[in-house]
Amino acid sequence: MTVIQARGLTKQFGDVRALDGFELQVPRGRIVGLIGPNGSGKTTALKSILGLAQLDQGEIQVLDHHPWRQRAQLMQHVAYIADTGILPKWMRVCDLLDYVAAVHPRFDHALALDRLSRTDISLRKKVRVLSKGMHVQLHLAIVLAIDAELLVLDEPTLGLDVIHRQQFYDAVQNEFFSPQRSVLVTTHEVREIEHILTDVVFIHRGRTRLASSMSELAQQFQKVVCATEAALPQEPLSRRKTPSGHEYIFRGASSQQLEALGPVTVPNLAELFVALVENDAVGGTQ
Amino acid sequence: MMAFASLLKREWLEHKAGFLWGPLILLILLLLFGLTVVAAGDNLQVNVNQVESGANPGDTHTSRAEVSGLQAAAALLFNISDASDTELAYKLNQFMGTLALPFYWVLLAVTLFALVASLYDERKDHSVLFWKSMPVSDLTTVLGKLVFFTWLAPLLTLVAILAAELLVLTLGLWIVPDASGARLWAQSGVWQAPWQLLLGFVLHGFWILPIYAWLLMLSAVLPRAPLLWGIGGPWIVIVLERIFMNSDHVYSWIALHMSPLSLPYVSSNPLVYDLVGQFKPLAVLSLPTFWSGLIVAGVLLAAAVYLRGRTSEI
Repeated sequence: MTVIQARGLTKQFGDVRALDGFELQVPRGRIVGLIGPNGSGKTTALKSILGLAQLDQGEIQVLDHHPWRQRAQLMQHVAYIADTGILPKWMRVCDLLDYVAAVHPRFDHALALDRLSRTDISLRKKVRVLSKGMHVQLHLAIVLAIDAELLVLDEPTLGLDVIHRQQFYDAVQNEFFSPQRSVLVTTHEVREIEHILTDVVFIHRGRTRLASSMSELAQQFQKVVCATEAALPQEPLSRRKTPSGHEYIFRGASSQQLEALGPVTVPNLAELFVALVENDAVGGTQ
Repeated sequence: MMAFASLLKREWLEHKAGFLWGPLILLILLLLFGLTVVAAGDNLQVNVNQVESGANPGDTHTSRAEVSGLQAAAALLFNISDASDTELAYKLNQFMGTLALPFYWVLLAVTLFALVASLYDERKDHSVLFWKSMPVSDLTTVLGKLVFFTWLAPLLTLVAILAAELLVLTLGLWIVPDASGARLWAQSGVWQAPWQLLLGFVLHGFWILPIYAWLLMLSAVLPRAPLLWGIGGPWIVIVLERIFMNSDHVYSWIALHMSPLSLPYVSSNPLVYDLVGQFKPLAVLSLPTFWSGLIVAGVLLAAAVYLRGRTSEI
């Protein structure tokens, strides 16, 4: 079953086209990374998926709901953490949990309390006195106690130290994710989530530049580092001079031919994104 | 139902400081003032502007008197021994009105500030993203705020006015001779007061609804300074009407809807409060402006719900 089905999403803010025909399919049981630079349309795409932004054009279905018209119903099945601390700062932690318990039919109050008991967060404290790390821990405790089918994360670990970032994604992977649940995540710390992603979607200038599973990606793209500039078997997607030599990224090249040039590895997502975006030859959904 | 109750509780948690401390501070000030007056006893010097009724209704004249001592002042103010029951009840009502008015103005000020910030602050601190990530519709959210500000928050003021009334009556019984105490108590209308206040406040909620709905709508949509526009917007319309049409319909309409028309003690409308102090709050239902106010409020609230769905963090 497809959790998110989005076709031709278009959204204009004045002169800026935030989404320009964006496409996205997220099946059940996948962790999808939405990767793109600042201003590429990531947050607008997520907001349209959550029913927080009205689209100019396009078709979108999330868990068989129209997000814009059925946001309240959809939110029974979707959980969301944003890049800024969005919990109400004037509220006490215990009151916040009581509120969610009262309005959310799929929220497990005891589970949230249990998770918070393993942190330094006091239930009597107001959200405004919590550190950035605690704020995210609290939001995560709430979200993990919701029996959601889709978790949407928009730069959730922005501003956190490396330990908290690691703990956050470990919790998402081990305590939320299952074959019946999906996660859609955007982050600039691509390397930290690369190992948990099952799929990746590159977005640039409001368009989908690449949509692929991580396993297909490893088969499609190759990276070779040569000590000297070599005679190449085909035109690479990108070439860079690095301290260790000349680095080339290829798409669909023969491994045998590449191995003659040097050690062949799979490019990481950051390298691949830069290669694809810089290469004008790449276009459309693939 | 439980979800809606939690929305009301959420509003209470956010705004309790203003709605709790406002009337409480007034009560404390009143208590201190009352105790000071009682402590002054016979040393008290009181200047009284006394309004006396003539033979015909509305035929009044004012006399000025200066008395010494608390009992003499009370006798002069209320004329307990000579006044008829109706006169005494009317004077007590007027006195309670003076007492209740500051509570009403504090309630109005706290409510106006809280309302104009209610949907604006959540966008400013980005918590709107959290509220909207919960399965609660924009309609339910706006209705929750409206019910809280219009009908629940005033309950505290209602209780405070009752407490003030009881406090002053208790002090009064202490001052006046024993024989007058029973009359004072009987004519104070203290037993009807809770129900009159409750009915008055419920009707007042509908009466002032267009003002509240206007602020709620601005709060839902403006990117900055909603309070400025809340006051400045109508002011511009009032000035334009004055310049181009030489009339004051908008001003009169707004001022009327901000007045405590249906509230006991403080209402000055003869339709609601007649000359013998009979309180008839349901009379507001006969005013065309009551119904025009509800229509305006309905349109503004629909706009607030629509705009709350379309705006996000600022």
